[in-house]
Amino acid sequence: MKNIIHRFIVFVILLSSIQCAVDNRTLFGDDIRHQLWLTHEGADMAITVEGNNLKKRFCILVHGGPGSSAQEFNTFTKPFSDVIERDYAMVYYDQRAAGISRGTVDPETETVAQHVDDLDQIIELLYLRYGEDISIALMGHSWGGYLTSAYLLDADRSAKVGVWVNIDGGIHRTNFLNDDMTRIMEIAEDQASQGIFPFEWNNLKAQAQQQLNSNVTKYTYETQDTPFRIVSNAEQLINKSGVLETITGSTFDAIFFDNYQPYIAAANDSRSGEIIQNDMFEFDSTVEALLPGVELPTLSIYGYWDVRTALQQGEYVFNTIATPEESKELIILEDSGHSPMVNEPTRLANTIVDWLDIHLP
Amino acid sequence: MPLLSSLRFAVFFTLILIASGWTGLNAQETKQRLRSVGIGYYGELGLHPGLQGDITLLIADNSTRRYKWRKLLFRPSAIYFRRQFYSNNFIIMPQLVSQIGAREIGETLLYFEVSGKVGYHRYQYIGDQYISTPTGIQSVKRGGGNGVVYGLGFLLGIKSRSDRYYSLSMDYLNEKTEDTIRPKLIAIKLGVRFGCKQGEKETAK
Repeated sequence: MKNIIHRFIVFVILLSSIQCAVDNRTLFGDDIRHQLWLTHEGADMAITVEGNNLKKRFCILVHGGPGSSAQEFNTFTKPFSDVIERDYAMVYYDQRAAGISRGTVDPETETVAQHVDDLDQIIELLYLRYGEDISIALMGHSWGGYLTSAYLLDADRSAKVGVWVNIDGGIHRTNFLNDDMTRIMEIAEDQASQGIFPFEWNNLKAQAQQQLNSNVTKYTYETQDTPFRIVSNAEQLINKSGVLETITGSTFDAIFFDNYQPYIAAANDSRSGEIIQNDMFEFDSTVEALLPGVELPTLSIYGYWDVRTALQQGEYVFNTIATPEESKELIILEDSGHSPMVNEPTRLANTIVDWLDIHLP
Repeated sequence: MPLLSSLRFAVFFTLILIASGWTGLNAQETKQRLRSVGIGYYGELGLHPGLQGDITLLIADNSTRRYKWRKLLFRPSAIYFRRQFYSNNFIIMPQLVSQIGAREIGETLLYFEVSGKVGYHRYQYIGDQYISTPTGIQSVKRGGGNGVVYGLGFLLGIKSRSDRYYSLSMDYLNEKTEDTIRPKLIAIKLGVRFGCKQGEKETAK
């Protein structure tokens, strides 16, 4: 009996030892992994700092959604994240009520202002832990692009950040839905003319045109359903066309070797997004008023096939911000949809690293 | 922790203590009812490694000629598992088990179990923890929370001639935590139980 008990204990210890250990004591290194938690306004936000922080350069990845997870970028899109981690310390933080974060989050705190405040606390934590002399790149994807832009609208907060990397950000909430319709019509015309699913694309084009003709100037949580349904159908058709490659890691590795907690993420994902999404539409007027004041070096990256946050939003950012021409750039990835870290991970990462090497002090 | 939540956990703990006390009231009786002591691998999602230890007590034996092995068991268990980079987890979970022998092959018996279970779950975050305060961010060492887990378990096992019970089982639990989220907890378990013959003999008397 003792032998069997010993064997079980040794088996579990062996399994645990195969997994990577957390070493939070070595503050700087070329391959660090720090596991942190920040409790703020009821939310326990999970943070992973991973990569090379010898040059004290940190890149905060602000995930999409609202309700997605930054940790999943680190577990499922390593061909993207590992390339950046070679030269920078990536900071993956899961926002309140999202991903693997926990805590007693009051739904009333799920607002743009609170998310901006959370992000500010994450940045303050980095300065506290790693020193005032670090430099920070703010990198947002999709809703994360929106959130990072909202953060940068305040000059005092913007001063804490070195550069802004906007990947597929839907910056102006109402306009981006109309931009999506325009983009779907462009792609539909192109695909139908090449004889690729002509009936389906023409049908979608007509629906997108009808949506644009309704002249919606301000969407709500309820009225956004129609354009989002058209977007989903267009995405399905693009996937069916086989124009996009999808590269993701294995679920086994994500669970066993990394920080993927699917049922906790699912529990967060099941929360209603009504409050935050209505707040985003209300916030459009603030974006219109303050975005022209942003002067930070900015790299915007959009997928050619992205119909969820169309490249028109990248043009909007590029043409609106006050950043000098030499410090801002808009790049379109020809073989990407809404998630270039899945479609063209290495190209995306190299593009970002090359740009950061020049612009992040 | 909100007061209501504290009370809820206090009441729950009291119930567990009463249940434990009930089984421990008469040590002699407990010894007679003891059927097995078990240990096993507890894998949350199969891959987050952990250990489970338990004892099995007989509540009722309804074996008949047709159903040779039909028992109602009480099985308190203690569980530890680790979510990589995330949390250390401790569960104390009494279970009510219906055990049915399905097929006898020589001196071995194929059996299965269905169990209902409810328990206390403590999760402690892995990593350095901080909290924002009006005077700035401070380091803390309090991270984690408490929860109640409840659900069902299914087990397929073989009882060997040497009175060992080898089993493969699955737990499907819901979790009600202090958090605002209600995650599921699914575990695959592999274990062995050592029969306590002395207890069976004494009960048979």
